[in-house]
Amino acid sequence: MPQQPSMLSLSKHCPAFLDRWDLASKKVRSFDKLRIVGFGLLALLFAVVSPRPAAAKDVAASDPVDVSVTIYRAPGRNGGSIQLNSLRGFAVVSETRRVTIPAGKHRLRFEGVVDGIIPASAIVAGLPSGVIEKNQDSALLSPSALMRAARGKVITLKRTDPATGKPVVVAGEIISASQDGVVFKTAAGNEALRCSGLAETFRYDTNAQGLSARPTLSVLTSSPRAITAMVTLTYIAEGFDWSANYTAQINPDGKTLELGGWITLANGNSVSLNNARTQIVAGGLNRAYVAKFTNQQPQVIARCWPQQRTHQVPRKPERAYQLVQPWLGEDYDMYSEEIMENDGSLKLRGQPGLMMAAPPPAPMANAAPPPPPPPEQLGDLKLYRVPQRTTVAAMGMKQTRLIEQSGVPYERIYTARVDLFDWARDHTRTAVTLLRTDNTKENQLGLPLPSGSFLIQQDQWGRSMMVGAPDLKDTAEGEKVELRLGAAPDVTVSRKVVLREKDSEKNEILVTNAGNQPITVEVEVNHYASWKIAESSQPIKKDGVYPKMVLTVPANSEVTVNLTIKEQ
Amino acid sequence: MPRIATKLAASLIALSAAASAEPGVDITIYADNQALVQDTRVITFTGDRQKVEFKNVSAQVRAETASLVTSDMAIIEQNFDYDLLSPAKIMENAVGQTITLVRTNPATGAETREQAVVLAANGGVVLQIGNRIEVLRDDGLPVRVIFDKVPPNMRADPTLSITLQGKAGTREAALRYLTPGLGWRADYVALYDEGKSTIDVQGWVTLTNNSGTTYDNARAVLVAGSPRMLNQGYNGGYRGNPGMIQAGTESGTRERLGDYYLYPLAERTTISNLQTKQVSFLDVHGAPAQHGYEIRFGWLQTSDTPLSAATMYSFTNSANGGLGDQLPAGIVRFYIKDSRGQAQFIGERGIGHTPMGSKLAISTGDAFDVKVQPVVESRTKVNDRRWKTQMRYTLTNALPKPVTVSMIQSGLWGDTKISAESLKSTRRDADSVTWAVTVPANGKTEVTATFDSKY
Repeated sequence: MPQQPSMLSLSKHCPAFLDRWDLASKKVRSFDKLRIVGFGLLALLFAVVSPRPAAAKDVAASDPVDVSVTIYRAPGRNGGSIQLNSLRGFAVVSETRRVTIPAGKHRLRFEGVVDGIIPASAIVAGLPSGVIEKNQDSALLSPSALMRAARGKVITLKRTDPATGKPVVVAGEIISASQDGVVFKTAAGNEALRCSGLAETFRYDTNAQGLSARPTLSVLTSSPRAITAMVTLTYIAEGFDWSANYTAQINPDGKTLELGGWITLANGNSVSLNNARTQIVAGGLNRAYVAKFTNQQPQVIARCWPQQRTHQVPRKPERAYQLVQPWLGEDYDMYSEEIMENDGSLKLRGQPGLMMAAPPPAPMANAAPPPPPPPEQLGDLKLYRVPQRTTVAAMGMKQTRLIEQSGVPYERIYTARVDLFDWARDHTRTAVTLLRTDNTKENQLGLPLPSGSFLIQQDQWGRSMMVGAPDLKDTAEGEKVELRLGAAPDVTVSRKVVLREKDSEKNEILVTNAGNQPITVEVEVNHYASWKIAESSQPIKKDGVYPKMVLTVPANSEVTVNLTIKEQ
Repeated sequence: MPRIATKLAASLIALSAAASAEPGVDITIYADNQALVQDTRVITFTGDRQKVEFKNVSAQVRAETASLVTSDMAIIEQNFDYDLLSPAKIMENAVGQTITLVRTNPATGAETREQAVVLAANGGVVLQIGNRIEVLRDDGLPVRVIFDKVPPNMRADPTLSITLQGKAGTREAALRYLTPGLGWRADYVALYDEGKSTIDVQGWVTLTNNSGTTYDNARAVLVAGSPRMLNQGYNGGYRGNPGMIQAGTESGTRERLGDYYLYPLAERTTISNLQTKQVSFLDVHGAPAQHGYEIRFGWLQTSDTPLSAATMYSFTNSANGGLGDQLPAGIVRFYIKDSRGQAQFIGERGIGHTPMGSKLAISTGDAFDVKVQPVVESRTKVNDRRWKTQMRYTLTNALPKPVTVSMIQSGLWGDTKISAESLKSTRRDADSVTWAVTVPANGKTEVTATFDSKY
């Protein structure tokens, strides 16, 4: 039964949320002062107020001993290639780490989490002592962060004598450190860094200033006794993506296809997931986008005052910078397709939609490994497992087989649309070739096909040639698969108005075939919604947006259809 | 360091020894990136006019909202100094004043000192040394510049200073101000059990601090509500909540502030700048939940390809058979266990503030295997005022189990009626109908309907 803790604390009994996933949240215990040093806190006043009640000590969890990663595609992206520097998908990373916590209150640090972590999504399971609070500090170790953290503290200034090379070390205090420069104080007085022309720098205390070298998530926990446990940290991280790339080889019989599919997965983060159980989830799932903090600290830049000398062209003094960066919240725009500068590794780019798939690895000619297993049902999504553990390397892409189906029958259809509007001139259009099949077991398919890009090839003169690169949307078992190749100049559809009256229009539609094979042509008819087809010499069916007629055109021949539309 | 601050520090030390008094920071955080900070400090009043400085107030403090509250005191003026101490500023401030130059001989390392008056700091620094004029470091040789003092109005951080006069004595004074940069929302982890049709839900409050300042050892209260702020526009207070299909009428036990619910953090905590902090507030196991499908079509919507139905999870937050708590606005993330028992993410959705007893239907995404293709089969003009529209909906299910899809046809404006249908529909409201269509396992169901409308 639900509980209603009146404070932000949980009842004492907390049944396992899940056998391996009991979201540890036993009870909210008292907070202690968190030693979050770092920056932002020029706490001269507070700094002197000490000692504080027992500060939580830091304990680091081990590096992950087991990693599982499930990669999700960028919402709204179907085909196209993925580029490492702008991955819009995400992953759920689950890391098992060993922790040893002494008795008492401790801050347990999970170092080296994937940098794209969404901290609010983090779930810590298996911590016997429970989670009091979870924190993610964006204070990463850097020269700038060190300087900011040292503000108001005593540091050591080191100057090197230019003549003798002997260092001179004096105690100092950083009074101000911002993007406008650094002012410090020594026994001699106040000075500015990088103004004297001398070799000078600061040395900092070794007790680390609470800055992490790697992205770190920490939880506050309290245990009456020392514990050792395996803890699972699960979180959503951005900067991943995957795409499905299919190859369809048109067999010489002209009736069947050899279908291959590859999953390309990519990790654009700077953290590698080693020897990870890897899964991919297909299907469209909702994301909730919220304004994000720019994960950027105010920078400290050791600027000096304007140092114009007599040989320099005068210019206006620089304007003072604002100390605090305004809140740069940004709404994630899932529809904006950024085309980033190519890093050279991916040669093909262009409009999304028109983009060609990253060429999948050529299928092995001789070895015929068994086809990959079908995916697992995950709610209403599909879960694919990479067969063996693998390393999802930082800034790396990886490919794994998705499908391998042989002898898939297909139909070749030509399709064109004619516009029967009174303003539309008579026109002739080239038909588009379409390969159509049903995703059924009878057709050697009958498996979910996640959306992706197709590369359709046909052999000619002993070489493989590309005949089209269409996109496919998520296609369930039993659905129709239609792959558009491109314009077929030999097949044209023309419309000619033969009689125009006040509320009706008689059209002649001519379909020509310059090929030496009989073909099937589907002609879509577009007219005003308030009009209707009054008469047609060919049957009309409607199973989509436009009324349609299906014609068989013999080789090197033509077919004429008489069609009258009428205003209602 | 100004005398006052030293005194302040001293009194703080004194105070930290006295357990009864409670100086420190109280923060009330609203959901809309807004917080009220009450910073209680002990001030020693001299009885005369004096200036009190408040360092580490929020760097984004809305200075116009700041007020100092204490007894027997009058405020003379209040300043928020943003003039940042930087090398350029300290030099500009030294114009007309005397500084010390330390020249280092690059050959010998010998230092020579001399006094100089800064004549100008326009682009470069012009100095008067004795009765000659020089440009600082024009020859490129090393010269250290030593300033005797830091200009008094220059700060290392934005600082609020208040000039006041109060009855002599040591008292607590509370500085109150509003600041953006602190905000919170709820994050829910919902694990759906397919076998039992239940959900386990954990709620966490997620607090983010981007105000530029760390609040040490603060008492925080989170307010579930969005007080109207200026420049929010006409409908500033209005928030939609698409996931809530029926608003609840139950009262919880949580404390309220007017119409808002309060979520106090149990203990003091330090809220660091750029930190994301989470504390649990809800933990419910085995609440009933239903998995369903929904798709909605607009008037005359037609498609060449089948469209995925939305996966919906429905549950209530009623005390009776539900989560039993009001739900502050945030994000619900759904998980489901895979065949190996590992929880996998299946989608997320934002929810608004949801009163207790509400019914929620949350869409996690598109169903891969359950699709519907709507086709306008024909449009016929019956007479000058009526049209007849025949629709065919083809529902397909590639799952090995039957499913029920809640199919909504909306856009039935005016007096649009259904004159014939293959399956009985329910009129949801004047403008839409719904069909509960059962689609057999690995099968297909067709629904046809004829609409009689004015257009």
